[in-house]
Amino acid sequence: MKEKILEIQNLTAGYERGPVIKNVSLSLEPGEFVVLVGPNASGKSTLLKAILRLNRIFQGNVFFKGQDISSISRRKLAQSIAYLPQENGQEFSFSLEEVVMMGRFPHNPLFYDTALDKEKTEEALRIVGLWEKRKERFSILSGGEKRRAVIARAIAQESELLLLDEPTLHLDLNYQLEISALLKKLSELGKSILAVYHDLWLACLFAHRILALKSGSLFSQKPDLVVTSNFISQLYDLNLDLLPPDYLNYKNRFLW
Amino acid sequence: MAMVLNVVYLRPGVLALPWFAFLGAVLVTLSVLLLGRRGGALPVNTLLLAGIAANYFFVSLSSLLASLGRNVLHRTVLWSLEGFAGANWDTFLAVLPLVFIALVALLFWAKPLDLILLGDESALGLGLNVGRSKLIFTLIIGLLTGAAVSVSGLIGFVGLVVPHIARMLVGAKHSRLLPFAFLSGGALLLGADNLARSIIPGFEIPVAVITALLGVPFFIYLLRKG
Repeated sequence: MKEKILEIQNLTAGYERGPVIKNVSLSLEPGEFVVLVGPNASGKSTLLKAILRLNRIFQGNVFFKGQDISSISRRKLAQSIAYLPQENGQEFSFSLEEVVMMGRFPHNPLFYDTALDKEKTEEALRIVGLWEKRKERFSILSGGEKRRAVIARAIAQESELLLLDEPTLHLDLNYQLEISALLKKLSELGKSILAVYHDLWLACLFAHRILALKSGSLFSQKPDLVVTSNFISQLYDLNLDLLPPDYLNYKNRFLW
Repeated sequence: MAMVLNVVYLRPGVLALPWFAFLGAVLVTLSVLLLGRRGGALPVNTLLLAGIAANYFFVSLSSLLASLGRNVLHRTVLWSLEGFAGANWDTFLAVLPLVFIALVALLFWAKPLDLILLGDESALGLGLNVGRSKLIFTLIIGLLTGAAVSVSGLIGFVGLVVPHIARMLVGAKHSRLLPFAFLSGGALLLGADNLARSIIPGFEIPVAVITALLGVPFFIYLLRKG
């Protein structure tokens, strides 16, 4: 059996005022693209942050390749796990290349950039198709390009596991598909990906597996990717009358 | 951060000795840090508000001390206005090692400064201990400012305006930005000092007046531009 890249056991985590996720257990295989869905405030972001110890862990353990993350230093952790928050960061006048180069920090925190740093940065920029634009200022890029740039930063970070909080936020359909396809491609290159999505249709199109959180607990783990109207209505406390019975088919018909 | 610098500018008005200025700067910086802390983190907005509060507090203390010591009041006011006139080689050499060490340290830690601009969460995700880094940087900046002000007196707006201009010209990467801002700040002050001496023949306008008159319009332009 392959070693799990990520294993979460009975995790209860949240903030000073109290836990948000309760007793969550899940695991990720190498090269797997897993999407996390669920209503607002169900604890999706909290779960991602807890994996990196960015918030308070009350109980339970997180293992990266069998090693307890609480025994790994922050820098070592950053060499293994990349985390992209919902927002790209405030407006600043870094060039695209400089933003991607920051992904090398866990490997080389000193004041100079090594030849390896430059090589990995170029590689990452080429993977996301932004090599030609490397000298442009980050702040003038389009929303989709900014997203690709921060994903390139995560690639330059050379981590085996990517945690992404709503990577398609604020993006139009074209960019949503582009970013999701890029993530799928990264998983084919061997990266493991855990990403929060709100769009179930996108999740079905690209993910290997969909996990659902509701009120801080794992609602369902559907390995076969069948998202039924019933499932949706229960997950989001949705009135079934609001949802056409062929919701997913309808969406597919409409688009293709 | 500007407010922290502001506080530091005002503090040495009473305690004329350079070393007291430095101690005052570190003391004020530390109190601002303690006030601005929120559950282990150091968010920029609470840091600014803490700086404003500390500014008022220490300005009041300065005024109190100045009015108590009426015999030196005239000298105190002049010291805060005279700018470069009070600087000499002795005071310069006294603070040179401090400034040198602080600058080398800042250049050495240029990458963490870059990461902090990404936001706390991204910086933590890239393996930076954000809280500790902000503390270290604020102390270094307190040291630099205290050292500089103790020699030059109060000269406002240079620290507010020059980094912005420098960032427009060379970008945000600190390994490039810091040396550039350092040199262009010095160049701007030399220019301002020349103006201060030559506008009215035989009378030296306080250099801080020149920098404020040049700096305020530019600052307003930056605000309007967003």
